[in-house]
Amino acid sequence: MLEFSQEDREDVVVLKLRGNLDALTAPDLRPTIEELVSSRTTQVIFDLGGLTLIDSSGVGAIVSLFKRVRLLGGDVKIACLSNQPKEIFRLLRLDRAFELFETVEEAEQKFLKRK
Amino acid sequence: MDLLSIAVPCDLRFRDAVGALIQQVCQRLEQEGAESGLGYQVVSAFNEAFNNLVQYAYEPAQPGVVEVHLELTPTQIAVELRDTGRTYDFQAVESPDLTELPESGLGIFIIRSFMTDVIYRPGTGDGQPNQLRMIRTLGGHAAQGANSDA
Repeated sequence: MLEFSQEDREDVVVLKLRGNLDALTAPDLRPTIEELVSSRTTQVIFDLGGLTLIDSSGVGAIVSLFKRVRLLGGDVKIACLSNQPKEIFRLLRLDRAFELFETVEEAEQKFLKRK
Repeated sequence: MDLLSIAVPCDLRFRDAVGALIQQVCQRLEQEGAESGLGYQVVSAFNEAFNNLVQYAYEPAQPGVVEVHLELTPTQIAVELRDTGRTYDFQAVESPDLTELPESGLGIFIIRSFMTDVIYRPGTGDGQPNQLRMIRTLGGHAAQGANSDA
């Protein structure tokens, strides 16, 4: 099961995920990704503190948003990564592509410094 | 000898129930001195193998059965998936170029990376199932870079 919520902060969108982001649930996230891209959102933070499991399909969803936001000149940052998702990020070298932060606030501060 | 044998429908809704059992076994091994992260890695490999079967082995309208066998010896843990669906050329799957940030085609890479040895035996068509055997040596490490910073 995947639970996710979207918080629109000033200039930054925070997507908070809880549960599993996998082949079964990743399609549930796709409409949100499409909406963010179509609205030309350029600063996104994934709060993965509640994410217990991710598989290659879940990775595909996050990478899809990352690539498309980058094309818009923006960035996607990752906060609160731990446990199994951290193992997957490390294996797939996503910890080198994405900026990782211990907290959402740290990620948000990094965006604010860009302005 | 199997520590666990279970047959479930080839349906993603059943994957996590089996994965939880594997995770429990691996957590116990970690408590007894096996490397940290063993459970995350073995379960990740199992999940990708199961995903592949759901996606490719059977027709969506007629999902078959997946047998999962978990074996444990003092030196290794082995997870074997058996199915009677379509075979595929496991060896032909090339590793993805991670620098390109691929959005798909990562499943077999994850399996190969987190497990020490992976053996695929296609079924013979006379009832002999396809067998994907994934072995993780305990106290060693995963195969292709899972513990590498290269």
